[in-house]
Amino acid sequence: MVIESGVPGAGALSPPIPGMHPMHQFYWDAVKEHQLRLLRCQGCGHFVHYPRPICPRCRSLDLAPEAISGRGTLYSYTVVMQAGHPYFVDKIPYVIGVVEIDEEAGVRLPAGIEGAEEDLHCGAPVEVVFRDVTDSLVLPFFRPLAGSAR
Amino acid sequence: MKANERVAAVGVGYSKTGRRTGLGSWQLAIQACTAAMEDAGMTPADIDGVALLWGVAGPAPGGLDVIDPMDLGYTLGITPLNWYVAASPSPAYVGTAVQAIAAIRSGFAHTVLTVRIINQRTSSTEVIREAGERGPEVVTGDHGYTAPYGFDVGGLIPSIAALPAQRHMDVFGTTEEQFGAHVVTQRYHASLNEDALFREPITVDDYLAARYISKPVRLLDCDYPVDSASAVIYTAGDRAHDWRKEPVWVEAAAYSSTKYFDFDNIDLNQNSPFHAAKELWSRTDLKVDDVDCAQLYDGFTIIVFQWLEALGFCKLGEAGPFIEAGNTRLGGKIPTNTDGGACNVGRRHGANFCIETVRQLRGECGDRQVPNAEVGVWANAVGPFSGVVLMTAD
Repeated sequence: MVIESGVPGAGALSPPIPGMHPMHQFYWDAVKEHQLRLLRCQGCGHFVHYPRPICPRCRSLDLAPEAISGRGTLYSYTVVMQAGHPYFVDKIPYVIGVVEIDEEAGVRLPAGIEGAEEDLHCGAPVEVVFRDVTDSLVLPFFRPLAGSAR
Repeated sequence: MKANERVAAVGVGYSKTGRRTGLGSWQLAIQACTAAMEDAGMTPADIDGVALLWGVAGPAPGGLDVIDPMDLGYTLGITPLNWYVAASPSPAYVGTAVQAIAAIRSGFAHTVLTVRIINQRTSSTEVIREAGERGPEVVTGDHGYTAPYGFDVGGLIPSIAALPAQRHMDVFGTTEEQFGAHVVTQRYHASLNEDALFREPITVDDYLAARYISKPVRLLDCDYPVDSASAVIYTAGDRAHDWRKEPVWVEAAAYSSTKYFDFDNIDLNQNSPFHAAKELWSRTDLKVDDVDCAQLYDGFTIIVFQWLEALGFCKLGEAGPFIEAGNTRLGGKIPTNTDGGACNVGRRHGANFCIETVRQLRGECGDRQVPNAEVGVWANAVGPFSGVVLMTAD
């Protein structure tokens, strides 16, 4: 791998990897199967993300993972131009953003964003796409829905 | 226990400030504390509390150089302590200040030395190299949802600055030239401050020529990492006139958290500063129009926009045109960041804004003095946690 920046250690083969955690495991297990599942309160229906053991809305302890459609709108985004980790040194510029899911207003997922910068704007409809980032890491990204450019 | 109705700031001081000073947290802290005691004309025997905040105090050469408030108190000769705290995480210096003010008001202490120490590597190249040497990194919990995408790795710029800034542009029509107008304004103020590290005036074109870090955030939107310590001494009202200079009174303060860092159910541009500001104005008879100068945390430019809107200096979404029209410049409606802000005096995690407020209300600011300044507001931190303090001259 050619590292333009000359920074020793740059070009690591993997980005930071989500570690195993009992509260979060269902999410990563689903992503591995190319599904998006969020913890949902079985009392009031609120999607609780990031996962927590109690619903912050109604304080129900009855929460269970449920599949979501993977469609939403772009809440905000940024084109990152400076890497803060060796993996990203040869990935810049890359886009990250926050996606509000169609299932519930206010529930948002941070994610990598694909697509041309000119197609991105706050409020743009987006859909999930799963990418094999490394041999052992699948991540959901979002991209503008076809024909949704401003 | 006797509570104290009023609290005043009576001493302020800085350490030597700069990049790669070779000074560790201890030297920086002692320099700033000594300067604040000298400013007040105090000895350690006059102080009975110490508040500082862990966070980026370190690493020094050879490892972490974190200071405990108990140790700092003992080392300075402030012993025994009636009260002490090392608060982290909390919204930077204002967290320390608000807790010290609360301790004095409640009667746990009569005089508290507050300190903010910053002693961090200034080069992202070093951070990247060390991360590379460590090999694949496993992140846990909530960080697992962001770090694999390159959010929040090596800094918070994309998430706490760029995402709200981009949305401010898309929702309110804010322009990059308006971000630049703020940067140009504070640099002008810095040109009048002998202690500023950057003093050469710049133009909006200079701003637009600076490289992006994470769009729309440019290098010149980011505060300047330095080694520094800042100290402020607060005391109870019945002792406020015992010192070298006139006291500067805490009129009201507010401290807010809406939730911890994430993106759910929060408007990234109307977050905890709006809650803190609302509480602040409910705790005083003063109004926003009474304020003579504002010192608003500028870790990133968008944060100043958010505070101007939150405190009511302008309407929601209108900070861009408000700044562009010159309202935040010395001589304008509400001179803002009159020391030049942390982009120009160096990163103090909010303490410079308290110190500049004290100096403005004492009338010590020379070329950058706001004439007849009697009421000042300073604010610190952003997003899900923040604090704000309203101060008045004696």
